[in-house]
Parts: sequence; C-alpha cells; structure tokens
Amino acid sequence: MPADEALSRREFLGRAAKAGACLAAAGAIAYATHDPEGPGPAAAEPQAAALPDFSIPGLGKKMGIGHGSDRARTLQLTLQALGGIEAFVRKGDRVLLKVNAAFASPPMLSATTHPDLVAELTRLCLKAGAASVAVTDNPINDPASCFALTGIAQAARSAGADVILPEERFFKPMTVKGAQLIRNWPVLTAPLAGVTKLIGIAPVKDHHRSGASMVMKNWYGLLGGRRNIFHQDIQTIIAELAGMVTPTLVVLDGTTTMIANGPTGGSLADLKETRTLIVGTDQVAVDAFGATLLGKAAADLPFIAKAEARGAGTADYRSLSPVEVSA
Amino acid sequence: MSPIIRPASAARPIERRPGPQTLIAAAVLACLLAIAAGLVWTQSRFNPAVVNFLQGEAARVRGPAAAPAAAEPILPLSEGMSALTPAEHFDRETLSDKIDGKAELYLSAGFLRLDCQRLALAAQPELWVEVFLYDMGSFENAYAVFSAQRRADAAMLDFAEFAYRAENALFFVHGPFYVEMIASGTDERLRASMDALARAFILGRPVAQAAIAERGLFPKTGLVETSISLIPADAFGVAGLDRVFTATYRKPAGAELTAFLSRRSGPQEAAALAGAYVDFLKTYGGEVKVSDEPVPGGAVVAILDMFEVVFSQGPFLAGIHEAPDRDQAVTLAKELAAKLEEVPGAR
Amino acid sequence: MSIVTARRISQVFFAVVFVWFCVASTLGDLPWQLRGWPVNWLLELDPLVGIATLLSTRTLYAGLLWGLATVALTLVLGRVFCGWICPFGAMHQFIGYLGKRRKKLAAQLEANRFRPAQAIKYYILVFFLTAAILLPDGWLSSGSLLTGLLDPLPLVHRSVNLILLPLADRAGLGPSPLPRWYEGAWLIGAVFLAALFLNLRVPRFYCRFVCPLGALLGVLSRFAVWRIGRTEEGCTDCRLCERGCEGACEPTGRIRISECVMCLNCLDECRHDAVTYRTRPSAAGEILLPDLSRRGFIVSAVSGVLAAPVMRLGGLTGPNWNPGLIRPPGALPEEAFLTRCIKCGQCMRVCPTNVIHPAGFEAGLEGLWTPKLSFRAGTSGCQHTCIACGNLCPTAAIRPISLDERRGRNEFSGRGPIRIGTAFVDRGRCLPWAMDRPCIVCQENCPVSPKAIFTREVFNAVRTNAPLTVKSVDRGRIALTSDTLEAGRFGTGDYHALLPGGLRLRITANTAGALDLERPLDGPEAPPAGSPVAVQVRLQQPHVDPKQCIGCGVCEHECPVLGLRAIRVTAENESRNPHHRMVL
Repeated sequence: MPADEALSRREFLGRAAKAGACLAAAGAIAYATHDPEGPGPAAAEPQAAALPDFSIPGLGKKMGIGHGSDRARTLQLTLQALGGIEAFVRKGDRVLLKVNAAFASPPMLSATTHPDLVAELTRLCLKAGAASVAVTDNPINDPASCFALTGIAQAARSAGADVILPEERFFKPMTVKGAQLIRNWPVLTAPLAGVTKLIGIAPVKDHHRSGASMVMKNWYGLLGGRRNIFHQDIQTIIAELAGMVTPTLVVLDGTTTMIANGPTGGSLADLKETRTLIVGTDQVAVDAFGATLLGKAAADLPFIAKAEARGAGTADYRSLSPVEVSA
Repeated sequence: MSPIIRPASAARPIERRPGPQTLIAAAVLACLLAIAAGLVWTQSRFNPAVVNFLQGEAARVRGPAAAPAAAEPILPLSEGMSALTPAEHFDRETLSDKIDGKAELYLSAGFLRLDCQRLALAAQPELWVEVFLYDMGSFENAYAVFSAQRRADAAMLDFAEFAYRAENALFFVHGPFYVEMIASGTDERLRASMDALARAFILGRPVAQAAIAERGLFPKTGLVETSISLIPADAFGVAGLDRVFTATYRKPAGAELTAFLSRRSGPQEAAALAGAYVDFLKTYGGEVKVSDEPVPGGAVVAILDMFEVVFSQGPFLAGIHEAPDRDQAVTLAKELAAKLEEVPGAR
Repeated sequence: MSIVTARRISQVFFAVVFVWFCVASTLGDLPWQLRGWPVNWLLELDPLVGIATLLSTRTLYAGLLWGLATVALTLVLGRVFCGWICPFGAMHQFIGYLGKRRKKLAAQLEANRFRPAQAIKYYILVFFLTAAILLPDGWLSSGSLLTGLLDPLPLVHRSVNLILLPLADRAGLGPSPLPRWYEGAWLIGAVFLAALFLNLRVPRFYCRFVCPLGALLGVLSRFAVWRIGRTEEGCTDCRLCERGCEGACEPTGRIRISECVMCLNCLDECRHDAVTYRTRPSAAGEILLPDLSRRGFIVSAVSGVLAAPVMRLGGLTGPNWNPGLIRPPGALPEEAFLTRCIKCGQCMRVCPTNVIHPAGFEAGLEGLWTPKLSFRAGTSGCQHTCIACGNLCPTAAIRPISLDERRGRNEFSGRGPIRIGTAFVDRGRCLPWAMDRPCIVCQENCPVSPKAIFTREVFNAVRTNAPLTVKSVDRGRIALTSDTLEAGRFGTGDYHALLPGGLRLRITANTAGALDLERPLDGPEAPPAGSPVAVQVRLQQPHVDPKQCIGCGVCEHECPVLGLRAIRVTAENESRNPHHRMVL
C-alpha cells in the first residue's frame, strides 16, 4: 500500500536522522572531552606566586619607638613621630589589619593583639580617608570564639572595621619563590583581594619553639591547612613568611610583654609591663628591637638572621635611626 | 491469545530463506576474524609495565649489576667481551658451595683451586659465558676430570688435543688446568667468543704438554679413541686402584668391551695389585675360571654374569672389565698384553 | 547458516576473548601473559564506563573512546551488545537455557513474559548517573562513581579474576602457580553466584531487572534504524517466538524495543516467517521507551544527587580519613580516585605480589571493592620497581606512572619517590624491642637505598637464674661457680659476656658451667675468681626513617611476628595527598 509505505519511509528517515544526530552528538562530545593522557602527577609546582608588595615606595625604612601605658595614646604619638598616619594611609585606601587572634584568650593575658590597638588604628585609618578597614586572622582555635573573646571583633566593629572570619574557600595554594616549606600551601588570600594597605599588629611574646613570636611570626596566621607541620622547622617558616609578606607597616605591641610560657601564656605571672610600642616599615628591624623586651638579643633568635638573609629587612635597627617618643 | 500447543515431534514445515541470514552471518564472522587479527596484532606492542618488568628480570639475572670487576678477569678477555660479574675463587673447603655434589669428583682427583667468572658480550650483555678454571695441580689430574665427564660422541676441536664442544659449552685441558665454558645460550656469537677465549687462554700459557703415554698403549683395533679416560682413584670401587686408564672397544656385532691399564711403580707392585684385585672380586662372589690367561699370572674371573680379566705385564696392571663374552675378552686381553710387552722396560 | 548460529558463535567468541584477557592479565612476555594484549578492551567497549566517567571527571579517558563504537552500534542496530557481545549476558543466557530447556512450552512462555519490575534497572541507571555528576568546585562534595558495583563488565571481570581464576589456580589449572588471596572475596562471589543462579528462576534475570548498562542501551535503542518486529501478515499468534525471547520484550504484542536484546531467537523460532528485523516498525506496534513513573525517576535522581554529599559527611575523604587504607602507587587523591574507580579488579589481578585487595567499607560505602593494599596476604610488599597496576587501570583511577616517577629519578628527582604510606615499629611487639630477641628481618629486607629502617645497638641483660660468678679463667674460657646455664644457648653470636671493668666480649659457646669467649683474655683482663660476670644479649632495635620510607610494606610482610605484625604500614605521608604529610 503506497500510502502506508510512504508513511513508513518517512518514519524510517526520521528515525535514521535522529539516530544519526544522536551519533553525531555523541561523537562530538567524545571528541571534545577525549583525554588520552589522563590525570598528571599532583599539580606540578605552580608558578611561584607573590602577594602584592604593600610597602610604600620611596618612603624608606622608618621606625618609631613609643613608651607609655595607654596603647591608643602611645600609638598616636609614635605614628605622629613618623609623619602621621597620613604618611601611610591615603584617601580611598582599602586597609587590612592582620591581627593575632590565635587563641580565645582575654586581652589581659596578652596572648593576642589588644583590642584597643585595633580600635585606634581603625579609627586613624578611617580618619585618614581609607575607604574601608578590615580585620582578619586564621586562628588556631575556633575563629568566631577567638575574635569574640579577645575583644577584637567588638573593638573592630565599633570603630567601623569589618571582621573577616576565615572560610575554606578563602584559601588558595601558593608557592613562595625560593621557599622550601611554603610550596603549594593554602594561604588566606581572599581578604587581600582589592586591599591597598596591609598593616600587621602583634604583641611581643615568648615562644617555646621559636624563641619569640612578634610581627614576622604574626604572618603564620595567613597559613591554612595542617600548618603545625612547620613547627618541625620553625625558624625557616618564620623567615619564609617574612619573605612572603611585605606590609605597609607593622605595629609591635610591647606594652605588656609575655616573657615566659609563650605563646599561650595563661598566667599574669608570665607578663611584664615593658610599656613599649614599636611602629615601623622594616619587620626584621622591629622584631630585632622587640627581642630586647624579652631580654634576648637578635642573635638569640635564628629567624631574624634568616629573614635578613632572605632580604626581608635588616636586623640592625639602629641603622634606621629610630625616633623615640614618650607618652 | 491462546497458544497453540504443538506436539513435540512436529517437524519444521516451512523452509527458511537462507540467503540474507547467511550473508549477514558471514559478515559477522568476518568481523570477528578481523577483531581476532586486531587483537593478535596489538599484543606485540608490549604494555609499558611488561617492558619494565622484563628489564627488571634482566637486571636480576645479570646479578649484582654495576659491580665492576675491579679485580683482574680470571683469564685474558678476547675482543668484545667484558666482565659481567666479579671473579669468584674457591678452594678445597668451599668448592661444594659452587658446584655442590660434583665437588667430590674434583676433590678426589687432586683439585687445588677454582676461579670462575661470568663474561658477557659487551654489545649484548644478555649473552654471557661462565668460565670455570679448575687448577688440578697436574696435567694428569686435569685429564682425569676431563675424561671422566666427556661424552664419547662429543665434537672434537682443532686447537687443543684434549678439548670438546657441546651445544652451549666448551671443555678442555691445558697444563694443569681443566677449563669449562658454559654459555647462556646457543647463539653463534657465543660459540665464537668461547673459541676466542679458549685460544687466548692456551696461547697465553705455554705449557709443556705432557703426552700421556698410556693412551698409546691401547691396541688400536676397534678402539674408540675418544673414550680413553683416566680414573684418578677408586677405580671399579676398589680402594688402591688409582690412576687407571680405561678404553672402550667396539667389536663386530655391536659388542662393546672395556679394557683397562695402569702403570705402577714396578712389576712387583703391578703383580701384587693384580692379585689384590682378584681377591677383591672373589670376596664378592667371583670365581676364577681360567688361570694364567692371557699371560702367566693372569686370571679370568666370572662374577655376576660377566667376566673380568686381570693380569700384570711388567709395571702395568691391566685387564678387561665387565665383559659379557669370555672369548672376546680373552682375545682382547691378549692383544693388550702384547702391546704392553712392547713397552721398553716392560719385561 | 542461520543468524542465530552466528550469534552463538559471536557470544562464544567474546566469551573466549574475555576469558583469555582474564588469564593474560599476568605480568610477563610469554604468549599467554600480558605482553600487549588489550585486556581492558571489553571494559572500554562498555559505554556506561565512558558516560559515567564523563559525568564524574568531565573527560573521556584514552581507550574509553571505544564506548562510542558500542553507542553507534546500538543507535543503529539496537541492543546487539547485550545479545552478541556481553560475556556476562552470555553466561546468563546459558544458565537460563539450562534452567528452562526441559520445561513445557507454557512454562517457558511464562518465564519470558514481560514483568513491570524490568523497569528497576532504569531507576538504577538514573541513580548511578546522577550520583556520578561532578558539580562545580565549591558546591557539595560530589562525583561518586558507583556504576562499577552493578555494571556487568566490571562485575564479571571482578568475579572471574578474583573468584574463578584463584579457584582454578588452586586446582592447578590457573595462571598462577601460587594461590592468590583476595580479602572480602566472599561478597563478590555471593553476588556473582546469586546473579547466575537467579537465571534458574527467570532467564537473564540480571539483564532484565538489574543491569544498568542494559538500561542505557535500551534507551539508546529508541532510534534504532533496524528493529525486530512482526510482519503484517502470517502471524498465527502461536507465540512460539516468545519461547526463546531473552529480553522478555513481548515480540508478539507491542514489542518493547528497549527490552529487546537482539537474541533473534524469535526470528529463528517463527515457523511462519512472521518475525523480521527491518526498518519498518512492527506491525503489532512498538513501545519505544520503558514505562517509568515520574515519581520513581525523581526519587532515583534525587537520591543519586544526594548520595555523594551525604556519604562524604562521614569525613572519610576529609579529616576522618582512614589511615589503614593504603592505595596503590599512582592512585589519585581520594576524591578524584572515587570519581574514576570502576571496581573492575584489574589492578588486583595483575599485581605480581598479590598485595592489592578489594576494600570492604574501609573507604566508606563508595569504596566497596576499590583497591587497597594488604601486606599480610600477599607474597611480598609492593615492589618498588613495579608499575603494573597503573598501566592496567582502564580509567586512570590509578595513573599509569613510569618507573622514573615511581622511584623519583631523573626528571622526577625533585619530587622524590612515590610514597604510599609509612612504616611504624610497634615497640610492644617487635622482638628486639619487647622480647630481647635479636631480629633485623625488616631492616634486611628494606628495598630502598639508603635503607628506610636503621638500627640502634643496645645490650640488654639476660636473666639467668642466679647472678653468675667467676670460678676460674683459662684463656678464653670462664668457668663459673654455678652449673645452671642452658648449654649451647649463648653460642649464637648475639650473646656477650660483660666482665667487671666494662670489657664486653662475644660468647662463642657455653656449657652449663662455663662460657667460651671470642678470644683469650690477656692477664690483666681476666676477672679474678669471685667477681661477677653478666651475660648480655646484643639487640639491634629497628627505627624507621620517615624521609626514606616509601611504605612498600616489605618489612611488614617479612616481620616474623606473624599475627599482628610488629612493623606496620599506615597511610601517613602518602604522596598522593599532601594533607597526609607527616614530615616536612
């Protein structure tokens, strides 16, 4: 029956065309996705990436040493002696304050950055016209409780800064050029996106493993992953951290120094009122001076020499002609 | 739709049309053949894991690789050969560590020292030769172990009197040395290498080749030349019968006889030893059938369905060993005695 | 030749090829060993492997391109793969044939009627495919390749390689002269036998109700250019065609194209030439796609999408990783590994030392039958010069590595050798640590150079019934005042005598009342009568150097403490996962 046949022929052609189309689609997908070699060995060392250089070009090495018990006041005076906050923060800058919020410790134990400094520095930056100020750290204990119990979150927010708590997606693997340890290691890079000025704020603390924890060791809080593995070579990791981060400014708080049982301390007996605050652009020099507050010399802390050897600064702080002020 | 139940025996009523089905079936079979051919072709391109595996095996066979034989090779290397393994040395205490049960043969023949080493073709290290240099102390001892292991129909060689070849091996005697060369395969290049090594060794050590006089003492008729062997000690299981030469004779009708002779220090010793041997045979059930054959003092002993002819001629102890036919044995013994009589000083 | 004969020949051909591939998966260059035989070809022809890995890795790896050939074949001709190629299908068909051949026609027709439960395999397919989908980074942890559990090609490879071949080995008929062991084989065997025996209930039970590959090919048959059907005239409804219908597709009625496995038995059985294979649809009508309920589809799909994220809440791919799970060298990091492993067992089959075993639930549900290493049941450790498993894996769940990469040589010398774990000495069980017995088997067998196990020498006092006192000294022999020693015990070369003044000499022999020393004592050295002498045992206590240890497990295998070994490998420091790094 011709009509029947015509119908079936149409039907057949339709089907054949669809089969052909499916085949073509399958072929195209197969061709596009075909991977003859398979997955390669674990991500070959990525290009050594570098964090942006936040130092102010042409400013040179500056260092100010302030004496006093009122942190906010001492900070103001020391900064003024260096040219004021305006020398470092300009209008429209996006500022990131890297604090030490490693432990859920109250401020009086001096194991973490003092909230007064956070509040004051935020206030000063905003007064200088900064577009935004943020505060961050990757604590050892639970982040929310660390930022809360240290008083840093409260101080930051009341002064007008954002608090950035770390999340897994904020870390990206990074390799520091010439480094042995920071290779393909997760680093807290997301808060740095869009930032123009980076300021590190850390207390002076004794440290069981490294001898001292000051501004260079403060950058440990940018590492993610199982970073305690680096305690096997603590001096080198601190030096590599100093090589990884070039901040605008560092503030080393030696108002109340933890001279024993660091880094956690825990007892007021571990503390000594040294009433000194150091502000500077050279983190190695600042740490070298900070060592004296612990009763140590720079030579007692191998990471200082290692960091100097890496070109992160100079251990001879006297060569910076630091200005001293008293509150 | 109710099924129609068919009786089981109903035959297929309709012939099928075979054409298209057979055609398609043939096409399918052709495809299967093509697949099979493809599989066979693919299997010759080895999986990298197999290549790696074979390289590992080769390294294991080679032994402690890259252990450069810092010591001298045990014999001068011919061209194109290099040492594959370090030289090893064994003395009377340690010989069995290397050759296990065979050590007994050498030890009883006066073995002193064995040096052995594997040498390989530099271009193809999987073709190698293991050389055994047995220092037997004297030519006679070396000849003893050489002849004791030689197969009667082995191919003779032109560059040494006492040498023969097997498919993958070379055996020869030179001075006090008995040398064995065993190759890893039957490759022609290995054969050539072994020849070259053997020649180099022989040329490098000129020795006063002691002719073995005893070999010439066997009557020639029916003698299988290559069968002349020296038993260094305990010949025929008899303590005291040492340095006994034996030779095989082929007689008509396929019969084989074994003649033996041994030079002693003098006629008294020879006679005494002959007597001792006959006594030995008697203790094991031997019966003296004939006396004074082939020569005065000689005896034909029947033992265990065989005949043993034992006599002494001058300083020689001689006879026929385990002969099935008495007459043949006596005939040969007479020939042997006659030859021995000709030896100066044999009377 | 009838077409059905050709089909039978084809089924036998592929069954033989399959068994040959299984036997040939033995490392070596003999004709019956691996050489270059493409032993993964049947797995590569399986389009479910290709499509599922495409969803889970967004790539189509190497040989899986062969799946396109099967897809093409199916799009044009229907499920010929099921009827002519699949060796598992051939097994089912054969056993089903054995089961029903003596039955009466009515019973045979009943066995081959369509059952709605045949839809189950489609739900299984949907579940597997949705579970495999890899979502973009940062979304839920996704991409779990579960197809290997029920996909017939991996299943039959697993079953023959890990159950039948080892049984044949023990009967002296298999490729391995030594018996091979596979942990958890009971479950693999049970599933295999269950699938085969169920054919006695319903022929091709697995193909009809369970097989996700059959489901996939059934869907692809929708546009098949040629299909089975009834002619317009000639059919007497005798239903003889259904007597041999393998797919239970109802060729007399509206034929279910997606169920037809192209066995062509109907065509062969029909006395009236009323069954054809042609481009025109069946005169009795067709059902092109399976009848799935929307609800069922959604349940399967949502379950599949949630499967991986929910399973991974257990943390086995994160902080709760199982240190006892040692994966083969070249294995990808765990999450990536689980997107590729089809649980085919090829790696287990080829491993020359039989240390790769199917996992139970050590790696979670999704890790069932994935490869893990066990050094007790095997002939040695993981040979550090072997690269077999990765070069046989059809999906690169274990990467094909070179020897240089494995050993960390030449261009890989910056990375060092591939580590699969680290050995730890159990000092409470180790003979020289806990039992005063000399032993350095682990150190002797450590294959890397320099060795990853080093020893420290200690001398421990040997308990004697009473303290020993010197009676007299004669050159190298010390006679004691007591007669209580076990004769010969101290002559092994490990025992030393500690003399007053601190001199320590090796004991070469002893009787009940005397010690023979390694050398005679010079005058002043000889202890005076009445002075104490102590016997000490020299022990070499093993320590592991984690910088050298590659986790190969030879030490664990050789340790003479045979139950719970005194040195054991766990997955710390494995190269494949930087998060498991133990040392800098």
